Amino acid sequence: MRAIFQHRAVRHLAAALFWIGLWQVAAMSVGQRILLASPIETILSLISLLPRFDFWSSILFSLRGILCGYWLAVMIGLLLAAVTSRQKVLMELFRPLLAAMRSVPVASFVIAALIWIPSKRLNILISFLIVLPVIYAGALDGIRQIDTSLIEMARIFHMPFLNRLRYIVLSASLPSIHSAMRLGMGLAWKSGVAAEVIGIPTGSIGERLYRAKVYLATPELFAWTLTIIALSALCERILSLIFNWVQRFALGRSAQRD
Amino acid sequence: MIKVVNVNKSYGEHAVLRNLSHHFPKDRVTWITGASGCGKTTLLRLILGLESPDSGRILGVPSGAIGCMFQEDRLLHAASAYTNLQCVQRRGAYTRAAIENALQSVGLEGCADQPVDEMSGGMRRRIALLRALLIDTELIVLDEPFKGLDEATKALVRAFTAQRLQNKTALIVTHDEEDIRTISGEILQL
Repeated sequence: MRAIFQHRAVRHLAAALFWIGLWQVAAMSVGQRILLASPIETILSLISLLPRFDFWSSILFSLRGILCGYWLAVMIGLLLAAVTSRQKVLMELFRPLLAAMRSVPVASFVIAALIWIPSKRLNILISFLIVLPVIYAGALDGIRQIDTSLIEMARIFHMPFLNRLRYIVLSASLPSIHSAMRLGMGLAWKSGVAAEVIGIPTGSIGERLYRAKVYLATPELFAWTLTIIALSALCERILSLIFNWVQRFALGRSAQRD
Repeated sequence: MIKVVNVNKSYGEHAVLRNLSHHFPKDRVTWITGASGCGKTTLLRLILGLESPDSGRILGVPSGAIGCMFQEDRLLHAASAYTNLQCVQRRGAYTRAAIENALQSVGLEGCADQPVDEMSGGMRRRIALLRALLIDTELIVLDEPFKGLDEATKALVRAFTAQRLQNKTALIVTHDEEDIRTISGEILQL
């Protein structure tokens, strides 16, 4: 028995089964699917959603918007960190803005944004605004990890630019940037869908969640939540694969698994 | 020829170099010696352009790459010996076989693919030295290149260094008289 639990996958599966079991017991104790849908009801609801066109079109709508906002935040966050790390004045200038962006609730952003932009673009803007300070902070931290003595060495040797980028800059800063991007991916999904629930853009996952809540379709609400978790996990996994590849390129070895 | 003219350098109240003037001959080795703290490494840092003198001028330092071995190894610790030697070179400057031969010359045969962070201090010093000696440059600057090596390895590495420094302008900091006896050159006593 102990030997079986040596495998990480078995341990993960056992932990998941424990919590699903607890969920099932809780649902049976409550006895009302409107208040708490059981795992079985949730899975059945999800299965019933799978063949529907609007299920996939909603996923595509939200996926497109949230990833668009996310990657925009990644690019601008990295660029901003690269520029402000060299210019202390600019860093001081942006510090209060990014601190404010970290503290402002998603709902405040959404309500303010709805005045300016149509609700169908909301998930792009909100995921961008929430992810940007996270990426910026992670990239700045990564830049601080770069060994300045190696930069001096590279300058004296006239080390080719691509080698500097690969062996000195990327190898030192990638771990921090990777952590920030992983954290940002989860936040992008949370904030993006929250924005959709408030703004109710037609054809989004947020709208489906909202309607499920209005019609007290709790199993469907849970099924959509499961879908969001799966999408977020899938995006994180793809991100990790990309990072493994980049890290292999930068260091010549695979990224450490966490 | 590199000319150091009336150079002064202080750190706070502590004057390290006072009105130093010296002409370093072209295509020859110059040994820089002196007691600890007399400004040997500071002089190298000024010549490398890593620091500026408080007053005075340094002329004739080539604008291209400089082969340099610092007091610290300054290696890419996650990368292999081969990558460390190859990454500062222009594309195609050395074949893998040439780099493996050079490694063999300093007693590091079979170490090309070994990550530097798995090497001993002495092995890292030799990689740092090779990096400085293999690059195609007009000037080589070495700060205590044989420090931390055992006598047998030191002899091997000195011989390789002497061969590589023939007809090259090199500035080498040392405390070891044996180094100066092995590789002929001028001496600047600070």
